Amino acid sequence: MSIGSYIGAGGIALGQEARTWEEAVRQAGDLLVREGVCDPSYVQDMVDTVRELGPYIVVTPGVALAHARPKGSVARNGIAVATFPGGVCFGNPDNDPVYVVFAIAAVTDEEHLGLFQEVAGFLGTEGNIALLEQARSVADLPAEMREERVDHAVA
Amino acid sequence: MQELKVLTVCGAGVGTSTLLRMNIADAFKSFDLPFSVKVENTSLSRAKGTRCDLVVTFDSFADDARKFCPHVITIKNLMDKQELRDKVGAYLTEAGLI
Repeated sequence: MSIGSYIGAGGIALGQEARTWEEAVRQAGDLLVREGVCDPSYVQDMVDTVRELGPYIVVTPGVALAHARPKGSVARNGIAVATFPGGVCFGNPDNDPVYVVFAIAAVTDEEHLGLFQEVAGFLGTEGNIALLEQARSVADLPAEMREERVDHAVA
Repeated sequence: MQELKVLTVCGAGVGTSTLLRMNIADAFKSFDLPFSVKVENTSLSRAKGTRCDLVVTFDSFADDARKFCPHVITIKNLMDKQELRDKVGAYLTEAGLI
């Protein structure tokens, strides 16, 4: 398994623009909706989590991990990635601006663990965050993110 | 001390606190302690009823965490292993555990 095995063919959007953190989270979340991973209410839950609990999802400089508690709105496990070369302010004094937003959806709490382990492994590999922030096309991405991607539309 | 009980806390208790649990457990391992350390992740609301020696969390939840746990560490960069090790080390020293 690699992080790429959770990312659908349409699950990566590079070079996006967003004026607010909410727009950025919605753009990443909408990739999951279009892939059939979750319904729009899960995207709303991700936005509400930040609104209610603050920008703690910006876990490391430049990177936000948007997620919410699975409440039946997730059809299958999936991850999407959107990058914002202009940077987006989430209101996190230590880790703003955000250049990469991951949207993470798991069917159950237990499966969340597996997905977050993949994301942690990816972020923990030196150089991966910089590659992702600077990528202009999918070919620029780290191999573990490009390979094993599943085409949800066909599957 | 037989076992140190550590809670990692975030809002939903499923994602970020899980990452924090994995990385904090690694930080504790680097100290080679003479007692065991049990790290569990949870949400703020569930953490409130749980006995623990230390809470590791983010600024957003620190004030609430201090109401039920005497020791609270706040983390800025979850992927910065040095920050985690330094803060765990400061806690162990302050608590007289090393």
